[in-house]
Amino acid sequence: MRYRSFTVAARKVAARKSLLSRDCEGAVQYTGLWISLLFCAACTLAAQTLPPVYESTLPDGLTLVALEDSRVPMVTMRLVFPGGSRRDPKDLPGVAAAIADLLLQGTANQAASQFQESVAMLGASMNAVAGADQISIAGSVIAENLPGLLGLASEAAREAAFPELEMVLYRQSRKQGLPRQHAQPGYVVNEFFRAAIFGGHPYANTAATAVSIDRMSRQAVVDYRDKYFVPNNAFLILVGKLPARAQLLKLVTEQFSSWPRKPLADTPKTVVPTPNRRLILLDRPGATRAEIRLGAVVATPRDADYFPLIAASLVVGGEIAGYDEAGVFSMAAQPANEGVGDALQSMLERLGRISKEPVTARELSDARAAAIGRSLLRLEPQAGLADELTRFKILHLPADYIATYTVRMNAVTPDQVRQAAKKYLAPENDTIVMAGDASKLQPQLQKTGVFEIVRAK
Amino acid sequence: MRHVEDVVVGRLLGLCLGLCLTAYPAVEMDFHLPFEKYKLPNGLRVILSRDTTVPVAAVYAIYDVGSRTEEKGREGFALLCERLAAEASRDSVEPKVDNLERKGAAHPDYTEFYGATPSNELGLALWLESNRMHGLALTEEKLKTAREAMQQEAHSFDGQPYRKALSEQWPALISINNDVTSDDPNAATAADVSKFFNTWYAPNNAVLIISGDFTIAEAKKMVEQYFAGIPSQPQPLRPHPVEPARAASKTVTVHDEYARVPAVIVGWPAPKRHSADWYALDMLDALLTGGRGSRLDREVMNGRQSVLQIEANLGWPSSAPMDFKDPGYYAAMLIHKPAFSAQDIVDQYQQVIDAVAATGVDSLELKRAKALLRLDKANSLQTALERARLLGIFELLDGDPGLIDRDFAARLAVTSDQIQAAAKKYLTSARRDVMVIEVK
Repeated sequence: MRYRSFTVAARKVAARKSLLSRDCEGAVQYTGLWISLLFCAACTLAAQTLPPVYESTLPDGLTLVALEDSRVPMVTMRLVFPGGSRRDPKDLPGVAAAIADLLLQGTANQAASQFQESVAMLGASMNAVAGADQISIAGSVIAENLPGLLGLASEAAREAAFPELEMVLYRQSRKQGLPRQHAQPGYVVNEFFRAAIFGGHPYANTAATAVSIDRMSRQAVVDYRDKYFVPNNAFLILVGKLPARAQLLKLVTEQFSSWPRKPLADTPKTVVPTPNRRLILLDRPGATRAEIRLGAVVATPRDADYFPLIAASLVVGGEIAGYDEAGVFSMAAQPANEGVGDALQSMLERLGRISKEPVTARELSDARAAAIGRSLLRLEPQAGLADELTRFKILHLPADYIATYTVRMNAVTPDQVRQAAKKYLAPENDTIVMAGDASKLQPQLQKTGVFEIVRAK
Repeated sequence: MRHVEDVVVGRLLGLCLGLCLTAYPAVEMDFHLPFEKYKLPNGLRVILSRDTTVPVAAVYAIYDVGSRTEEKGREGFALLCERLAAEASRDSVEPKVDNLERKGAAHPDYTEFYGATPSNELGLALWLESNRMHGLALTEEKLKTAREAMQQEAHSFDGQPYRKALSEQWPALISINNDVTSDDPNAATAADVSKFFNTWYAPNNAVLIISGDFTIAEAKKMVEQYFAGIPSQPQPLRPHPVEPARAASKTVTVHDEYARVPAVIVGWPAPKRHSADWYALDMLDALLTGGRGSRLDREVMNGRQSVLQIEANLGWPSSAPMDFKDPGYYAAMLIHKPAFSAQDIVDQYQQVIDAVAATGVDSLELKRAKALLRLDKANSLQTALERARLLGIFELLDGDPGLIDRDFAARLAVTSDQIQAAAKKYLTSARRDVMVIEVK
């Protein structure tokens, strides 16, 4: 094959050949020349200057969030309903996911195939996704057909039919898919990891089970939809080449105004559990590799500790995810059987070090540059911007979150990283879930602690 | 799953939508990308395209060398050099953050190196690219390592279904210029490779594109600083592959020991790049295979329930229609249910094409395909990297970066008559080559 591509890990300039020395406070010396503005994301990049975000609440309660981006003649849409899988009834995990999967499979007016044809005729694409905190209808369309896209999104949100036949097919295919999912160690480990760190909190339930799939009646799906798919519990996020403000408001009102406002149902009060370290080993006899997940519940993205935690997670090679009521720090590894003890020790040592010693200036500036760079590259396409605005609304982030991300990331100090790491990431707080051949792994785990052994299904 | 009634209703509804759409102003691709082009004394062409919406900048370098332009006895050098050049820049840096990740690929008719970074890292990205253009500093030891890595990688694809057909057997069948020599130029010495590199990866054989958030004056200063000192080389004579006139269509059968499901590949020599016929074929492809509701989806995948998966393109299985200078081809791979014979599938496929050749396409169908193409185009133009890539390809392969605006307008101007004529002229059973992939 001639067209293979490769990846250059050309990540950091320099030092090896002394071509260049870094100096975060000012300029950078490069082969004897002073060049300003280079090589240090942490020092030179100012706040992200986004075009102003326009927000308005319509009479029916729908909140419109609009951001003009006229680089290309298209519009990206997110119609977002807060709720998501965390509002799945206790005995019905997976119902939010089922709604997302079935939402575009036909409405009162159009069968599934017609609906999809209508989307294509507009020069549009549309899909629906369920997250832990929300269900979103996501779409994009060539600019002049925005009215058509809004019409179809409104139709799906209000009039999705969930036909009995589609329900039967859905239950069948979900059930058939379960064994395949459970055969993947990564999937099973994630399930156990979330269940372990979140305990009784609904974030623990991520997916449907064989039992809940059987219970997933059309009525259950419709009940959930009727409860959360109301205009006063919805955000319409539009990013792109938009009509003038007055026209846009008129357009959105036309498409959504006949949608009756409804009192929101009381949402059950939830409490995020305090860290409770669990060590779990899912026995998969015969496996030659282990799948390791290690981590803990951490601060939410609204918390002052969140930015230091982003830096800490980058330094130790982990990742951090933000939800409305919690953040999750995790590290993953897939070592061969004989390397499991070492891999685990190395992960725990990194966490031990970062919660005791301050990170070096170099580590911190690399972490800042990585975080800022990722965030900027994510915001480049409309879809990234729309997702970020979704996150911003769902996570109740401060109004200047996106604009000041760079500044706040740059303001993180080594001491803040150490304190946040000590509070949340210290090795003795971290839950460890791993899947693998227990007979091979157990002898290597004694140093770490006593693992509960779970027989894999 | 799709019932006949659905299709009829779908069409009626589509008609209504089509009429409704006309209520809005007919916008074609209202996209214009400003850029500035100049040349350094060493022959390096530079294109700057500024858009400051997002603080991201892309640096894209493209070289007029690819796997089809290697001289005899130098087969495999393009890929090898691409690897070595990657290695060279890896030597000069140490790992930092993934934002500075730079990638590269050797294509049939060009080689590219690219990456997007936060705009304040533009200088570093340029420095990395200039470092690569400066040369390989190759030793026999490094060459040996690169060759071993290539071999290992080649073997890592062993055992993948359809791999041999896609990467070796089909290209060799459809074009004499897709030679299938091994990717391991064993006989090469470090001196051979260095000579090849210095000749083909010289500034006068390259285009450098900077796109995104930067200031023109600063970018020019940095380009001058990092690239002006790289010496130019005598301009190499690029081989222009010529395909002989075809005597007859060919059908071959190959056996794939790894695939579980049979497939056929069908292909035809394509017209000249950017010709009206080429655009017509491109649009025909969108009508035939452009997702759900396209002709093949309706008539073969859903109608006959025979084909499971279709991939097709001008230049398939290379990554994009734009990949081939001349000559290229149009090809499709149809993975099908074992209950149908390869001949059944080829006949069903040809029937769908023949129907277009006989009666053309209706305006609604064309409108739908164009709308989807426009979305796709708008989507791809959002990133600085993709804009840089298109500017680079149009400059290197066509000598005209302004095609970034005009190419798409030409695409959208295609008429139903042109599509019908192109189907009749090019996609006939007499001109086609077929590869049958049998499985155990």
